[in-house]
Amino acid sequence: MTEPQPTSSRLVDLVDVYVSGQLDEGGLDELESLLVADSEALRYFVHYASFHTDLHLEMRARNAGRRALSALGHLGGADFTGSAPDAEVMQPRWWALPRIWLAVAGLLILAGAASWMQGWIGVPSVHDDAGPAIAWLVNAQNCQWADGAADTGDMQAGTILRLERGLAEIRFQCGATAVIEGPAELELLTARRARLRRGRLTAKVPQEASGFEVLSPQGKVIDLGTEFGIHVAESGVTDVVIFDGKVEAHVNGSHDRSNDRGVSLTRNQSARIAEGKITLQTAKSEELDQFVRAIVPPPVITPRTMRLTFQNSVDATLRDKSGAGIGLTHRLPGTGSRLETNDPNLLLDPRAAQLELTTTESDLNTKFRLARGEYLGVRLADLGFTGSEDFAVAVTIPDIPALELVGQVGVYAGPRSDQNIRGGVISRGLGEYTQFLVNNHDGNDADFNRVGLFPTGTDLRLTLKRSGGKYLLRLENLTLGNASTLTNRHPEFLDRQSDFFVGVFAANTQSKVRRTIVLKEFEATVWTVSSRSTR
Amino acid sequence: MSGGHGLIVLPSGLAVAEASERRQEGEFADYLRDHQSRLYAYIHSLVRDLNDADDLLQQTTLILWKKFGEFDRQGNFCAWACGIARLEVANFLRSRARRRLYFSDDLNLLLVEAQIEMSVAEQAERREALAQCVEKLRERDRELLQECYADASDVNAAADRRKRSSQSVYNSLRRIRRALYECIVRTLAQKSRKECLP
Repeated sequence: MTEPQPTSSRLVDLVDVYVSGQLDEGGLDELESLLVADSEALRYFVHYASFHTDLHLEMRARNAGRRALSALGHLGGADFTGSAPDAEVMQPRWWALPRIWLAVAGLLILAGAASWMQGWIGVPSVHDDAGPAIAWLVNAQNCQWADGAADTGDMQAGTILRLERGLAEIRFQCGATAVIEGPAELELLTARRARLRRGRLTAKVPQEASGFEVLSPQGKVIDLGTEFGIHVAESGVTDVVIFDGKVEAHVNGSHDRSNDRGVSLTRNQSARIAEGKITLQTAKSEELDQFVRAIVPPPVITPRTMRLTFQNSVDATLRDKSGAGIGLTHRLPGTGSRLETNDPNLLLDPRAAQLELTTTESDLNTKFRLARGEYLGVRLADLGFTGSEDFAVAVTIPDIPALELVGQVGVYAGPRSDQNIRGGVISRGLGEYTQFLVNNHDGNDADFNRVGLFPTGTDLRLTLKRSGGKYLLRLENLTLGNASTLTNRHPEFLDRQSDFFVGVFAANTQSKVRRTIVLKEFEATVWTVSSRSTR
Repeated sequence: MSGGHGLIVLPSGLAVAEASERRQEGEFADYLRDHQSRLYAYIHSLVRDLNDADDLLQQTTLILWKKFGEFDRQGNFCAWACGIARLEVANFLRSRARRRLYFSDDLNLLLVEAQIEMSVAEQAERREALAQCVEKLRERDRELLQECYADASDVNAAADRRKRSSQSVYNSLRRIRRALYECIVRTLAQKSRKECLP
């Protein structure tokens, strides 16, 4: 057969630009008219296009060969990487054909063994009915499917996903991924195409999957290698926002392909497709924020608790008057600096499972005699606290004694004596207490909040907790079996602090009369947060 | 198991059907093996994307197998297969015809005819010649081809690595392709002359 001769240099140019994918519409028309008019031109085209296909396959083969030889080099110590692979080694080149082609061609070699035919092309109809998988469900979060199913891996063309709530991530065979947010309904059409009937979808499309399409009742969006969000309202009105890259939006009803160029949208643009037209606008940040772009697994929150029941002495902790370790490890910085190492105000009683704390005349408010103040506790960093975590401190105080007026016992949290929040019970004199919670900023009490009345002799459980950044004090009256919670103006001055101490205190603030408080069951907890990797 | 030594066991009706089916499968496989590269080249020339061509070849093969009973054994398998592939390609292009960057169906039909003119042997020879010609390229041209035609073919990335514009890389690729094609034509002509020598 004679080699076809190109009829003109223009034909040569056009054919080459065509196979390289660079030909524009005008060029395509010109080429088509040349090919239709001349059979020799047609033959030249077929030869050149065939050459171009072979060139693709040849180059894939060479790359695969280079990688394989490189791997052998690593194994055997030989250096194959510096030189081009030997052409002999590359023959035959069939193994370099693309994935599916390889499956077809390779298996056909075994055609004598007809079992392949039954397994793949095969007549048993189960496979044919289901069709090949075009997409996979790869991730899901809090999903509720309308038909109670769909929580499967492989999905075939025609599959309709009806998600009532939650998030589902689908990977298409072409490489595009989509996150749909319930309520939503998505129909999988092909490995590169899906129809969003309603709801919200975000698609991430790598360059090689460019051309991925999402159809809506009003039009469609063609991705050109990017990330975009699409929302289809119940009415069918379709909104598109572009996070990155470029897409084309089209409206339905444009049958004239030459006029249907679509509207190009780029990063941070949005468009509404409705009533046969596309309205372009700049995407507002609220619009962008409405789309879930990835399924982020909920963080794992692990409570780390230190619990003391005072049933034994603990080494390397603060010591009581007899030198026994009481279990608490720190004092609120700025307090207790002049107290003796074997603190005469403390007595650990393991048999009674309690710690006795005798009040001192001191007050955080106005920083009064804090060097002798009893503000015992733990450092939260020891429980994994880094500044943002929630935490709580709790202590049980049975049989509260009658402190003099404004004598107080309770729990505290803060980085130091002049930056903290504390709460508990404060004496009103005459054998009565009231629950209180107060911020202490720069050494002075502020936002003092109190409620309720308790007689002496009441058993209390006090818990000071920070939850979602907010503080609250919970007082359980173990004698009566009721509880009350006090919140206070938010202490912003603590928000930026990362080294917190929490603990228990007792003080006869404006009196010389000291009393002994019994402490039982001290507990400090930090809810540490760690992210979980997606599956 | 029945059948003693030397006894021929006649197949049951089911076994006859199975045997016939296996024969048909073997026959289909033979046809496909002979013509698959031209079929693939045809599809690729229309869609110009290897991954799309992979998918379309797979779809087409399934349809060919299902319709194999209708194929006239006296006819041209390549023409029949390319005709079916043409319809698959048309369906595929309709679904993504955002721009008119593909040939008309009429031209695709003409291309089937031109495609079947190229023989299997001829195509194998051309492929052989291509491998030799690639070896003759300058090292840097071969590297550029490999970068731009391999799995993650990306002209822009290759241009960035060379600190060149994409257009200049496209121009280089065009020059290399033309040189390769001319080399193939020359190689085939030389081979043909040698074979004709007395």
